[in-house]
Amino acid sequence: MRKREKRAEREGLLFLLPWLIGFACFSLYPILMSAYYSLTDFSAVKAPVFVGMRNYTSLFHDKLFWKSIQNTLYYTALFVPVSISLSLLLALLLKPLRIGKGFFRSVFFLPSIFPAVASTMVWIIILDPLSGYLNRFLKLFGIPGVNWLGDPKAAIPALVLMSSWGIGATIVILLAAMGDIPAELYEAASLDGAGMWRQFCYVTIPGIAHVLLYQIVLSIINATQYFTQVYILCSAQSGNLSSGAEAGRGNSLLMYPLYLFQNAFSRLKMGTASAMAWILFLAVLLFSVAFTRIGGRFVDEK
Amino acid sequence: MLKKSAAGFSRLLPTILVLLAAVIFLFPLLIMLSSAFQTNERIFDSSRGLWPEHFAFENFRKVFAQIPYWRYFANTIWVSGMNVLGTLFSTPLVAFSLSKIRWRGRELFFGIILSSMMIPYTVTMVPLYRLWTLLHLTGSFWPLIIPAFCGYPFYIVLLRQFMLTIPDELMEAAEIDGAGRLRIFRSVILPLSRPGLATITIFSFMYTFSDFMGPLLYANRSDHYTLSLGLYSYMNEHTVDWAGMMAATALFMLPILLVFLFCQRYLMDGISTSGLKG
Repeated sequence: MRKREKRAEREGLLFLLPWLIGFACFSLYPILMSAYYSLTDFSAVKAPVFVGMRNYTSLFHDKLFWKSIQNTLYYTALFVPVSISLSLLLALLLKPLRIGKGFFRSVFFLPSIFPAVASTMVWIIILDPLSGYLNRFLKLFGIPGVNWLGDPKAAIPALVLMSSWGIGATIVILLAAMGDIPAELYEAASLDGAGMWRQFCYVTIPGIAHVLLYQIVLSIINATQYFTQVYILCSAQSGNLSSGAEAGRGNSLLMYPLYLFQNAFSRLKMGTASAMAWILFLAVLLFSVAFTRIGGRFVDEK
Repeated sequence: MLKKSAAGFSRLLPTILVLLAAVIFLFPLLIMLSSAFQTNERIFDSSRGLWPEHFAFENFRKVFAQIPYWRYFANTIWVSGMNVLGTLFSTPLVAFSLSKIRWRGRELFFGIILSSMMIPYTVTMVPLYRLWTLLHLTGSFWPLIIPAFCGYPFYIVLLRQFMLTIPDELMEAAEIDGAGRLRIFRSVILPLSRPGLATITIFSFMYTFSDFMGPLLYANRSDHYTLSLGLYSYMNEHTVDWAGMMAATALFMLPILLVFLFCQRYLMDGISTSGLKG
């Protein structure tokens, strides 16, 4: 019996080996190295030189660093509630549908597999201040046009609009979670005289709470990683993204990962970029632990 | 009578809202197609309709004349194909270990894999870039391919979930017949995992096919461009040619749309399982 367990352990590790190697090389090693690099001054071509906390202190005095945090927080604070409630609403609408449920589910899902490059290009045309379809649509209702990507105040709401188009995966997941709720629960609730709203509050929401919580955490983390779209938008506005160019008017499109990327690959300040990476890493780590703890208690109690 | 029609309306309301939402979700796709056939003068004309007055097929001809589309396409297929190959090699091994071998540490490693999905790419980006530079592999496709042979957490979790649904009795029967672990893996579990393997194949293909960040960092010589990077550089070089760009975008989207049309069942199943395990 002992021998059998030993063998299972050896074989288990052996089959795990590809991932173990990958984890060591492509996750663990880079995380540790980025902690070290954050204390050095270096570029891709130059070897790292130890400088202590200088990257961190200079970041704290860097206006653009704070601007990028502000933009990212604003985007996250807007995108997460909008995308989650929209997905929830659409999933709820789809659920009772008798005909065409699968078809509409596919329609909502399709945009989420659009490559970021392709969808960003299309949205540049839609959001164009003069000829864009969005402003032309608003004009039908007498609403004056907005310079979506050019106006610092409108830029982030425009980004949220763009990303909300890609919520299909969340809809599919929530729909699947709702499908797993036993029908008897709804029958019992309606026998007790619960209407649509109360069924939603006391059957649907508790039934999908754990999935919903996970989706919220995921969408917050994803929001802090928002890069490709702003990178492309900025290139479209100012030609190539050289180190001097503003990211959107008044740096309104300067998201945290974009600034990190610029530091690393345009300004070749990879030490500074690593410091930014570690700050983000700690923030995401603390947040995920705290949120799952608090949220987990809430879900379990239900 | 009034009450009845009100009830009818409230039953129809979800359908109407869904229809409306569907139109909104499909709209950008329509704009892409319509703009691909517009002329450049018309594309930013605020009076144009969705339907082009005359179909400007020359947009597509221009794309093929101005960018080496087939070269980019071949690069993209090479990287995506190798990613699929790597994923199909590594993922089943790891998923098998995590679902069908009972061993100490299995839960611990699964926990690590789950949490490693949350590591932001921004954290590993700079050290990885330096690693590939030191290995003299930047400017080649290898940094985009090699990690797939170690298995990506998302696909591992998906396939593990799938393998858990295969009854252990089948394995035990083979074990009684004297089959070793590798034999069980190859002749019992792998064949039964086919739908799961199809799902991770499609995910891995779609993801690599549309990836932007990876090629931006590593495939940054113009003869190494993938389609997404080629499209991006086309935008940078021909800033005014939006019609051509939309035609190029449509050509880029075509393979994705085909995969979507024929394999959406696997996509939906995969997405659903990935969210439900939470």
